[in-house]
Amino acid sequence: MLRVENLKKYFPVQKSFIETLFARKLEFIRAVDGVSFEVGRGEVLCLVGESGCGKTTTGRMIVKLEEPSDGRIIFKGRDITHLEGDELREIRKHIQMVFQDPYASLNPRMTIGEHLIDPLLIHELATREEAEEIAKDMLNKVGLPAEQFFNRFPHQLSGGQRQRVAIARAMILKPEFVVADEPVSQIDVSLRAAILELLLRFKKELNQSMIFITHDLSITRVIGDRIAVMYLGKIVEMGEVDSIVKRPMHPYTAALLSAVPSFVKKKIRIDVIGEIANPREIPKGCRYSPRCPFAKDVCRREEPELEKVEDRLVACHYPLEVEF
Amino acid sequence: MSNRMLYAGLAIISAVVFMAIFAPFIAPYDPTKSTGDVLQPPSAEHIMGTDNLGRDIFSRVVYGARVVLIVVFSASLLSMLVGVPLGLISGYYGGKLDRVLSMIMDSLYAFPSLILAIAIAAVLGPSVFNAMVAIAVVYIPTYFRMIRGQTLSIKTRLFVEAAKVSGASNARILRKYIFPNVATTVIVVFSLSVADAIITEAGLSFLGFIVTAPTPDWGFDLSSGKPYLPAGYWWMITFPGLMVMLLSLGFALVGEALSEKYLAREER
Amino acid sequence: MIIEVRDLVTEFRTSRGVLKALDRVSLNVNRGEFVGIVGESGCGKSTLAYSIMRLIRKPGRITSGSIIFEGKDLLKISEEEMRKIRGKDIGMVFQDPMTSLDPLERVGDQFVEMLTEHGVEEERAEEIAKKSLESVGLPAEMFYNYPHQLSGGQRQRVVIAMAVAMNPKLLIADEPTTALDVIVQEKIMDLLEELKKGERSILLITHDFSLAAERSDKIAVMYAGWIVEYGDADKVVNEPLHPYSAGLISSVPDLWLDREIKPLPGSPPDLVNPPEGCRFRDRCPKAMKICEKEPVSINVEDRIVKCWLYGEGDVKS
Ligand SMILES: Nc1ncnc2c1ncn2[C@@H]1O[C@H](COP(=O)(O)OP(=O)(O)OP(=O)(O)O)[C@@H](O)[C@H]1O
Ligand SMILES: Nc1ncnc2c1ncn2[C@@H]1O[C@H](COP(=O)(O)OP(=O)(O)OP(=O)(O)O)[C@@H](O)[C@H]1O
Ligand code: SF4
Ligand code: SF4
Ligand SMILES: [Mg+2]
Ligand SMILES: [Mg+2]
Repeated sequence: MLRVENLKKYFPVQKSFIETLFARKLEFIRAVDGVSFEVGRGEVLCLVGESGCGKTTTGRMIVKLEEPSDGRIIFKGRDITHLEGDELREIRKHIQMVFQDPYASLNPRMTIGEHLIDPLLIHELATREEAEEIAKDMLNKVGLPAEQFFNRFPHQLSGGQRQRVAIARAMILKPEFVVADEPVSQIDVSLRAAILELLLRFKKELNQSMIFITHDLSITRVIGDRIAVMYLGKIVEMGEVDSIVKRPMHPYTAALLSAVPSFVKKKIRIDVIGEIANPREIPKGCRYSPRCPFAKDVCRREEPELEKVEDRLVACHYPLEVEF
Repeated sequence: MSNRMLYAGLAIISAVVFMAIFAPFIAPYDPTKSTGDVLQPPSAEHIMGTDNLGRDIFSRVVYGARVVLIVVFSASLLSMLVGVPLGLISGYYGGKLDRVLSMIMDSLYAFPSLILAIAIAAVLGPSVFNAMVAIAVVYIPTYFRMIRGQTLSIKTRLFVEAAKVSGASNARILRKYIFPNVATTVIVVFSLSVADAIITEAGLSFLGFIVTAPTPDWGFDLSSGKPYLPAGYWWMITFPGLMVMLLSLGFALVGEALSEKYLAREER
Repeated sequence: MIIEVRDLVTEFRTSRGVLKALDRVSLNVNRGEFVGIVGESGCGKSTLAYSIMRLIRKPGRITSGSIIFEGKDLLKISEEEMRKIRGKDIGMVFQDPMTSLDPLERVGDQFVEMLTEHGVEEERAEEIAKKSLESVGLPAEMFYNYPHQLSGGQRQRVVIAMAVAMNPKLLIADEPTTALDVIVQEKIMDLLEELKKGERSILLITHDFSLAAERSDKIAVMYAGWIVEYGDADKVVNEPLHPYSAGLISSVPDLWLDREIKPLPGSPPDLVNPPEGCRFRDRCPKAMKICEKEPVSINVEDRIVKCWLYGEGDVKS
């Protein structure tokens, strides 16, 4: 369905005028630093990792909100990396995004109904009257009775209701591919399950593929088929959700998992040394080595490749053998 | 507080507009004809006195509202029609066009408004229409800068990106997603720039760039009354001057009140 | 017992009428106990914390009840006395560390200022501050940094260091890790648990049920201004008595539990006009006729539960 090859995004570091004068060369934040993966039809790939590891940037490149610095994005066999104009608009019909912040992703000056009608009109999929009907059906479907919500403005809705609108807007074009960027992280805990259920329902109904970005690993079991764990712009471990969650091999994956709060007592505990790393200064060798409790000399010299180990891909010289 | 300012301002503006529309019914005398009595101080017959040609000053003040309002309103509308789209386009597309436009606008903005208006009016020659154009040019940068700034910040907001992902064209994004979110600013800038333009108009008129005798106009009447001030005939300039201040104050109050009420809140 | 909250009522005046954010809330915390307070957004968790600190502001007011801290009713003492208790006897950590740190002032200066306000001499204040920073795992040099030079986790540590510098007997933390990553969250929670050692009691307010479950000795579940269940953490989590506790637990995804998550239907009631009877009634799968009357808080198996399922009980709390 979608294949991403060696995708990179470098942002120039913002500096003051004086700094620029004295700096010898341009410095870059390597937000995404060579990421490759595939998402099959009807499959959900969860992108996980701590704040700033490049999850959102990866998602934004796929929906073409950010121009990749390098690499290729292939959608249904077609290279869409550098599409522009009408061709891009055509592709947008099939690739949609649900954003993290439901308070910022809706236009404060547009009614809920108008938000759903607009995509249909843009792609000339319906007349205005037809579009209104489709939009009302959609609102009912996401649990917001159309007669109550159609003419309301975003500020009259709660966070959970707004996120339902955002999902409805993304789904109204019946996209084959959806990027969901932490769609429940800013929503009350008790409402999260319902929103996840809604996303899963659409996924089944439209046989969608999805990239689900989250820093909350406990959600991956609910929604995901596979997980890709990112650290400082690279994937360090990728494989089936169940197997990774039970038997993480990369020390970072293990640390993330062991930090997830749970109702059951965890059997093992794996630490991380120090604070979140600075993406401006990516360490030599294994980029996780300064924080890895298992690091050895080799780790600080040679960067491990993402290689097949048993049922998955791992980028580590000394994969763990632990079980949760 | 901002409500009281708003109502006070609206009251002043409506009073002046009312005066201008119904001038023939309000003015007791013909503003261009002599009543016979020259340089009379305010009295029951002539509540604002008469001028050096014996014309009733109150009547001239009433009729004078017409020229100011027409010139200032049409000038401000014109600056809005030019400044707002330019600001939107410049802020949204950025790049070379934005740099060139910003440079032009900034250099225009650097001049004091009256001096710039005089320069333009002097080139175009005196007439009501030319004065209007001159004033319009003066206030284009005000709209441009405000709208460009807001567009710059709104275009990075998530709902604009969401519209892009839906496939919306740039024109559609500008029209449906960005413009409605700057509309309040446009109204505020309109009120504030009208307030300022009233003073500029009076200045131009004072220098004879707008009307010729005997058309009544506050700025023009200020200049006709000026030579008589040293001799103690204060009323010739006091009343037109007060009207300029009052009308300008009216718009300033409305502009400030609106900006306090709506803009400050949206910042959050 | 370190603190005993009894029948506390806190109201907010709103344009729509009086909002009872806390409605006769009672809660006892023992010395050295780690108590988690959980519940949906808007159920009154923060209001409870602010009420204990007597920091409820303008449209809000504590209208009745008592808060007995070490034998003294905090609602009866003067503001002057209360100020001495804040920080010294009861410390508090807020959700967003930036709200409690002034971005324009060095960490150390703010720290020393807070300490001198409590009557510590300047020379000793610096020493205490540095020691306190070290006790939360920060280098003492952070004393000379500005808040923006620190990461989110470091800032939260600074705030905790300030809250515990005077060695308070009770530490209240209101969503201290909501803005942070899981890994940082785990470290901050470790720190809180470490701070509990000794006689100190900790009140952790969180919307993350599993986080509270993992760290607390006891859990209080709040719903619409009420405490609906309060008791031993393991028991509340494994055999919840109140239908709301049960519903909340099964709506949360958990990595290690093999089960489907079940969304809670509906949403909490409007606290300006709460429904008669049990406030959870329209979302409760077990609602009965009697639930149209307000349930009483009763003692069941060492737990306090506010639900008719367990009858009228005999020990009214
Ligand atoms: N437009 C930009 N300009 C400069 N740097 C950027 C830009 N967007 C992102 N970055 C940087 O790129 C890195 C990755 O950011 P990204 O938003 O992809 O992270 P993330 O994994 O989504 O984090 P979070 O969990 O906080 O959302 C960060 O260090 C961020 O500061
Ligand atoms: N200053 C205020 N004015 C009016 N109502 C208020 C005010 N502060 C809180 N409330 C109301 O009191 C109730 C309880 O709020 P509180 O902040 O204690 O909830 P909470 O459980 O801490 O929620 P959250 O998880 O969102 O922090 C809510 O209904 C809220 O709307
Ligand atoms: S390669 Fe070495 S440093 Fe990197 S994660 Fe593996 S063990 Fe740790
Ligand atoms: S009192 Fe009744 S409605 Fe309320 S929680 Fe108990 S059973 Fe449900
Ligand atoms: Mg992100
Ligand atoms: Mg709160």
